[in-house]
Amino acid sequence: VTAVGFSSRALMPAADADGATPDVEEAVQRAQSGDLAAFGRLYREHVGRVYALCVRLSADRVLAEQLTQDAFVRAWERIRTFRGESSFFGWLRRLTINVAMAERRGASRRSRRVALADDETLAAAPRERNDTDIDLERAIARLPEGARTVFVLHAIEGYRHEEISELIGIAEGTSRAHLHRAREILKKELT
Amino acid sequence: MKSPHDLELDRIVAGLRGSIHPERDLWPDIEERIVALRGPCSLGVRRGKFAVTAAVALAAVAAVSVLIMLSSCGCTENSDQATKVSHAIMAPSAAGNVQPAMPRLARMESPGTNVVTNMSGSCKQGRSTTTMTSPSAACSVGRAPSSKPVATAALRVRAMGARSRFASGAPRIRGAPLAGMRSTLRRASQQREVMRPGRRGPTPSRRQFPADLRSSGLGRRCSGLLKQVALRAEDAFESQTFQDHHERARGVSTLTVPKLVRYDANRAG
Repeated sequence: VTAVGFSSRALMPAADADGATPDVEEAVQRAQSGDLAAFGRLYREHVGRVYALCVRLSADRVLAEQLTQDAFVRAWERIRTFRGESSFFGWLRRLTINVAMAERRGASRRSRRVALADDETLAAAPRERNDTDIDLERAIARLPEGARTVFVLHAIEGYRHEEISELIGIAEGTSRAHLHRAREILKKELT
Repeated sequence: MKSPHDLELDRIVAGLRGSIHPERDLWPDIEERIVALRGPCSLGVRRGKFAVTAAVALAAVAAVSVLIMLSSCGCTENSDQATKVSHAIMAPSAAGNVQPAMPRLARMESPGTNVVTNMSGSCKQGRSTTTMTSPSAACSVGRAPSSKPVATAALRVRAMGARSRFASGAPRIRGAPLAGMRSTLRRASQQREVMRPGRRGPTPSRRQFPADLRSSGLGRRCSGLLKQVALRAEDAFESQTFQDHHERARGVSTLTVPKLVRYDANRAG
């Protein structure tokens, strides 16, 4: 499994950023023909990045596991629609974001009817790495939902504001405002 | 120009890991769910499912449409009779010499008579069994297949002196499901006024109704649709005179159940 050292999409090496290695392409083709084992290889290749995205978007490790499962199941359902025009991970990442946003909309509808008790959501950060990394993960998890989503998608995943506005259904200006707010909060947290 | 804090934040963000592994292996669960899906759902399979669903939906819509058409045909027949009845009620003189001044309504049965209605439209009132001359009469007790029979049945119930609102003090029901019925009753009332050769004076005031009828508790004992129909019928008959009928009804004001109308449309001409 690839452990990507660079976080921003723009800074990633091309192969790592896109996951467009020959092995991946072959696995995608075989998965499209119904080979579950090949899809399992795709899962092991990309689960780390998908899970990281889910953890940061949801700020909840348990929910992130569920979202990761949902994303891969959805990917299996839709893998025939992948035409290879972009990288497989780009396609998978967009699909994961859609799954996460759909789940969030459903959760917001449920929360209007049911008041959930506090559970051990994240502020839980990855256990390894250095303290600064952990602090930033926790600070991201404490961000307001909209600001966190925009920050993760823009600053970490490398999406542009126009793409974010399309992905999560907000105005581009709102996306910029969310990002500004998230950065202000994070700067205060880290200083 | 970025501040040092911004630069520091960018540096930290750039150092975040792009990959975080879940604490447990999710693949067995994913594999189980995928196997449950029975293979990848191809576009063709989805189109096939959609086509099947659409065909089933169309068949259901067609069946419902046929049912509605059939029921509307049946109600048209009922409404023909209902028109006769209402015409006879409004214009007794035009109905012929045999017809008395007021329509021949059901005989007032003894107090406390239980009314049992079956699907065939026949009603059992106590010991005797009375068959409704019009299927729409069953609507006064049971379910209403359409608004016109309801209007007719409501007219009859109203003609029987079912001043339930006055009797029980029940509030006026202004429910959306009854809006259609209300307008239908108003139309029926207007139609009667048009067909009527001449009015016989002003509409009786509510105060003119006998006290014993008001206190009879008739409305309180009416239930469900019958009560609502009676209330609606009251609105439809506000422009009508029922003086002689009230005189007739005065003697039977202790009825517990509104009397079903036995009205022979053939006699009405």
